[in-house]
Amino acid sequence: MKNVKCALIQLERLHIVSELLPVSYPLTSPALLNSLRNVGLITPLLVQPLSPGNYQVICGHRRLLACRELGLRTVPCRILQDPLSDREAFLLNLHENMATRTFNPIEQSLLINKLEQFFTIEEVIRDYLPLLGLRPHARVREKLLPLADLNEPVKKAVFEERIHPDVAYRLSCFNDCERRAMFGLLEPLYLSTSKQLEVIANLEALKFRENTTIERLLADKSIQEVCKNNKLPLNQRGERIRRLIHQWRMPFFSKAQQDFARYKKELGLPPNIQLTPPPFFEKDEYKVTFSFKNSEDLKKHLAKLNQVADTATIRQIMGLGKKV
Amino acid sequence: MKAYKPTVIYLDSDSGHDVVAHKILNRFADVPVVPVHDYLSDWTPEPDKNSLLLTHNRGRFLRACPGTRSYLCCGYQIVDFAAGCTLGCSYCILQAYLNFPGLVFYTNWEEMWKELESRLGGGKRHLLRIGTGEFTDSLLFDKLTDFSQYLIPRLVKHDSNIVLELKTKTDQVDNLQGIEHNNQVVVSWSLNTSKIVEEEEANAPGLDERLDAAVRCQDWGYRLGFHFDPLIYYPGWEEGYQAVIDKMFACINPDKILWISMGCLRFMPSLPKFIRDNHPQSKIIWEEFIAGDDGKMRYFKGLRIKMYSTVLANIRRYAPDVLVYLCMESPGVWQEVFGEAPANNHAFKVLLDECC
Repeated sequence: MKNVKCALIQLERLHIVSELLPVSYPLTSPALLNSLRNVGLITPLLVQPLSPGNYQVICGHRRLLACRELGLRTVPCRILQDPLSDREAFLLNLHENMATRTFNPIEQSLLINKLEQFFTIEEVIRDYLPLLGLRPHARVREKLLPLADLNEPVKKAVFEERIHPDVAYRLSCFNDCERRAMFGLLEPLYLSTSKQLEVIANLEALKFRENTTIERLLADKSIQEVCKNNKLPLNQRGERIRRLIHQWRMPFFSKAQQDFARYKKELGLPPNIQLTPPPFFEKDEYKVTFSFKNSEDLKKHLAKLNQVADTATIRQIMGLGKKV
Repeated sequence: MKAYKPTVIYLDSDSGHDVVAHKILNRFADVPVVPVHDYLSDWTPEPDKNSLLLTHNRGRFLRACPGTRSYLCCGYQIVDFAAGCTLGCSYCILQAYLNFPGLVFYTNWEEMWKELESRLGGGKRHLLRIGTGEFTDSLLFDKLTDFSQYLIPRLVKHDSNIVLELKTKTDQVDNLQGIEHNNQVVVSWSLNTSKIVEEEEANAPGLDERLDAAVRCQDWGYRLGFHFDPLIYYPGWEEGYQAVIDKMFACINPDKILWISMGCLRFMPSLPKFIRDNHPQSKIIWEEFIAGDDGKMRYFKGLRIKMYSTVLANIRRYAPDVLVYLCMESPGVWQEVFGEAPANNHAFKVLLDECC
């Protein structure tokens, strides 16, 4: 940037011309508005002549929009005298942003999409993902790429860290109606990322298995009852919905789990004796673990175990998973 | 069944002088041939699923079936003469297992035979069950390669203590007529319900064609095997498998059957992605699966037991004495299905050896 002049330019003379250029999400920022109100514009915009008296903004799109919102008439600008190509302008904008801040996942997605208009996928992965603070792996690119095209509420939720980018990526694999339905379900509930992903995977499987739609699955009476139960805290609602969907998806395993919980309760084991079933009831070996402080404790636990070992309930437990 | 024809043949320089390579090249005289010198690296252009690679097997031809840990396996030995298949079964593990998208024929048969000859030992040790249907279908390309006519006479002449199983889903049995097999060859078919054959085994012959072929082999004096593998769960599976068994025993003499195996659908966790990409219409991966002790995805144990017990009861109506076994199942499942289980893999091997 050798040939630059500075000037105050009227706002109506400044234009966002190319969709390639803004790399910020969201384009409005309360913090920036506040800063402008308090101390004014510190860093001038970078622009280049567009037509006589008009200029294209190269760097400073959010600043421009904030100045417009505050009703300012003029802003200080640095005017490039030698016009830049789209690619040069885009890279200048990218580097200017990169030098001053980190990018959120939606911006990373926007940038990858835009970079791929100028570079090969391999170049983007190898040369640019590290600049965006990402690992140079194809899978990283694949998961971020669709985020920029998601519906606005989903993008906003990602930006505000209410849903994880991995969840947003999974949502991007569905059509618009399905995505809205699942986002509407998951967004207000306090489920961890892994549980959100589990719900999405189970709904997807049910959709194909039952030959139905996500919307129909979520309209089920039992789901709706939980959703509308305002007496339940949101995290408990989330957990109940997750369990309901899991039961639909894994009916045999869920039934065995429920039976196990019921029989275990029937055994009346004290809390410091743990009875654990084999993973998925696949093997026939159950585990008992317990702790004790002295020989009396130990004798008491052994007597209790000895007592339950011969009950019909323990035989019921040993038969779990063998019948459906 | 649609005749196989590759769109391009990659000819490894090592294969250039092999008889079978020439036979295949002559058969496909109008197919472009691309010479390659190192089949692992110098692809130009990129091969696809319709490519055929003629090359040498640089490793061992005879090896133990990989089996699976934590489940009972039968001590089968496999002969790698080819890799890949064009039957297009949605559930096929080869989709995730092989790194060459088309077919590979190993043409160094003389080296293969030298290895088999030295390792099979001329009847000095216990019986060996070997098969060719692990990484391809045993008979799918037999008319093209005449591999059965090469292998069977040599094996039979060399060692009477070997049983060769040719596993197939096809009706390509013409080459087997008239071969002196000395009761050492078992021709076996993977069977499934009409619904599964139609929906999940896209290019494979139908059930009738497979059974017609089995009847021909029965008439030629071969012993037969049947594999209900994979058993696939879907609404109506009971009636579906009963119909297959009724149809099978309407034309097959139970006395000619050496063994019948059953194995429920199971797969590595990496397979569903391939099924989704290659067979988007398939629903089989959306059923209830749990992670087995070997890390493979399986139906819930109780469902597997129910499926095996139901199919077994149907088989027993026609063949009370034929050996039925489970492929890659746990002793617990064996116990529930049969009331007993082999004590270990060796006992399982002996069980199958003794029925030969």
